[in-house]
Amino acid sequence: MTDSDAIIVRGVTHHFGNGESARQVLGNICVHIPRGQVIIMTGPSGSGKTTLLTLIGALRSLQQGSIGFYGTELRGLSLQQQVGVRRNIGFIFQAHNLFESLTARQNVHMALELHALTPHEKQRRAEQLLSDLGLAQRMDYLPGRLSGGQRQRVAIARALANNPALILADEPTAALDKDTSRDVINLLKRLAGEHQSTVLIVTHDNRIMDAADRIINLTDGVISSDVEVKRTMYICQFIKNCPVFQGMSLGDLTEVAQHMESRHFAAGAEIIRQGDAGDRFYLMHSGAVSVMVRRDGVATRVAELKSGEFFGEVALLRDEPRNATVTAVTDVETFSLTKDQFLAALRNHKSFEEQMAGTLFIR
Amino acid sequence: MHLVVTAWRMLVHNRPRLLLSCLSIAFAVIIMFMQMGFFNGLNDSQANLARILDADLVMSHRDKDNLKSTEEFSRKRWRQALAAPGVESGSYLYASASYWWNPQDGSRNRLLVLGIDPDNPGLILPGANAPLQSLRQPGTIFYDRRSRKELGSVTVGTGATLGQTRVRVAGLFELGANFSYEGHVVAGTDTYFRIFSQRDPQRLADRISLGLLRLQPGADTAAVSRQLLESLPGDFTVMTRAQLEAREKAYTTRATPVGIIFGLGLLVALVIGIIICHQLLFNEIQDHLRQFATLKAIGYQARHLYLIVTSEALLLSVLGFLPGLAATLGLYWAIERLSEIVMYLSPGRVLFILCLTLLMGVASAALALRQVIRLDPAELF
Repeated sequence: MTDSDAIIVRGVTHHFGNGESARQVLGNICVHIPRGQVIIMTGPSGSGKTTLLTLIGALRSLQQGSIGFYGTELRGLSLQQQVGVRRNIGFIFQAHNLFESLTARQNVHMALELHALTPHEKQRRAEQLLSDLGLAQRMDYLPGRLSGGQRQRVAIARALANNPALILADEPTAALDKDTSRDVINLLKRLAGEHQSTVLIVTHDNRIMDAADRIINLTDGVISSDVEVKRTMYICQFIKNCPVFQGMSLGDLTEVAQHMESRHFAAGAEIIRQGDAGDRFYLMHSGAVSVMVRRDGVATRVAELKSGEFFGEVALLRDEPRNATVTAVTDVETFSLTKDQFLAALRNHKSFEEQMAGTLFIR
Repeated sequence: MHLVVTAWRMLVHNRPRLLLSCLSIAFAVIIMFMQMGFFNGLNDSQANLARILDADLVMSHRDKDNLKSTEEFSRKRWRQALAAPGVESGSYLYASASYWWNPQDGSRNRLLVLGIDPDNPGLILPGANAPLQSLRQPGTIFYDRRSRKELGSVTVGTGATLGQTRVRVAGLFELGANFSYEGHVVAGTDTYFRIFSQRDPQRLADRISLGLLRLQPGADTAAVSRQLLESLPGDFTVMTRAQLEAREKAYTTRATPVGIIFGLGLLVALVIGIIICHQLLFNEIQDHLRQFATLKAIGYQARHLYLIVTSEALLLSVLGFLPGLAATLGLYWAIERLSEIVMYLSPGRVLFILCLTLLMGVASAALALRQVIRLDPAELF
């Protein structure tokens, strides 16, 4: 576990029921969630996303695998210890679940009461949160006199009350209209950012997908895709303008971008060596590399590549050893695909294949 | 503390339901008060005679186990006791059952005739409206105004038939009817002998029901009793007035089924109360399942929620107790009016029912415990 990881899920498998009737809802789930990330978990109903949410939230006991929660292993915790973990989590539910008999302020207080604060501090914190959420004029209203969006905001204030390390939200916008959903999600994101909280949202709501840093899709209890939205969008923007990806549809670009891995090389580093087996395809993001071909003991510098150019494809296409050595001239950032992903991309996208076929003749 | 406040806010949020809940609990409280009231009323009524005796020590026949029974002992023994050291003075009491003919409709009822020496009565008649000396006049009696209504409308000057003797009411007092007798009259010894003139006069005069002894100031009652029992033939027993009163109450409980009847009644009322209160709590929890589960999710423990539920139960109990008590006061008053049974509510008895009501709350909350423990926040999702 690195310091930047808030949650580490390793090999989590979960069953409901016993013996013959046992039904597997999660199979070997592995996810690393860095601190401060806003993650949307989506998938058809019955895909196990809610179960995963309750496992991460220490609301259920783990059956198999492990979950590290800010350094605490959740596997094998007693119920008492689970309660202790949950005090560091803010929960937001589909229904606001506010006490109808308590005012907005009192509802937020319910979450603050568990923490060792002076009455004055609690008072200040509750007022601060509600003001931040635009409810300064509604603090002493009962939920019955608030709109749906206002109620959900009170629920968010309650979830944020104890500065939670993690916020777990289950369909937080299901009951809200489009504009209110946006407001609520933006508020949640902003406050989470201010409080350095990690946010995990389970939702079907397509209207809020773009708020996520990362979207994890669960199907039949396994992760079917795990997309870092921002990075993918950034890579997409970049490769769209690279000649090699010319003519590829945005959807195809996105898929390629999803599989691209950022690789950094210091000036002078050898990125690929002539004669080695080919394992990766590289796209230059920034910096410069030189391409050297050694033939009969003589090394000839054949090219210098810059941002937007690529290398490493020939060995993959022909299934041959590397035909040149590529060395970083300056510090270099690349986006890289593994051989399998590269070949898959080739198979799937006609235009990419054509572009690549062309390169074989050039080089 | 904030949990108790929360419980209170949850309760008062829904006013109509709170009102209904309070009334349900008040209902159970009233039933408990009634059962206790009847029980105490009968005991109190039964022991009323002991309370009006003007004596430090009371002598009675050895086998007389309650004041309503007819065992009598010789006045000679009492006279001997008067001479014992520590005894200052004394008086005696005749008592015998007779029939009273209703002066209005001629119906017949059993009552207890007490015979006293008008100059040395040994009784302090509560609410007496004339001096007991007026009983010197033969053929006059004092009538217990709180005798049962069936005895007729009686006031000073009313003439009536007691057994086969005509008597005239010279004064009234207030004692109250009981299980054994519909009422009481007090007569001077001369009148008493006349009423029971068909009995052997010598024996009638000798056999007294109670011997009443007043001790010299500072005398040790226990020592005097011991002394009396040791020095005199053992056909009598002696006890203090407080002991006598306690025995009278215990006798009713022991010798009659009232203890069992009303004890069970009280228990049933308590159980009804627990069921009512549990039903109220059940609904209350059922309506707040999501809220409670949310609290559990964010780190509250079952005991916190349990504290909320118990607080609700106790608050409801107290809120139901108050109107229950108010209604009880009214009902007690009405019952006393209608039945002449003493329905007396001492602070101790109010406290007793309050404790039972709180017990009811705690017990019903205990029944709801499982409901709270079973709440699984994972099911919120």
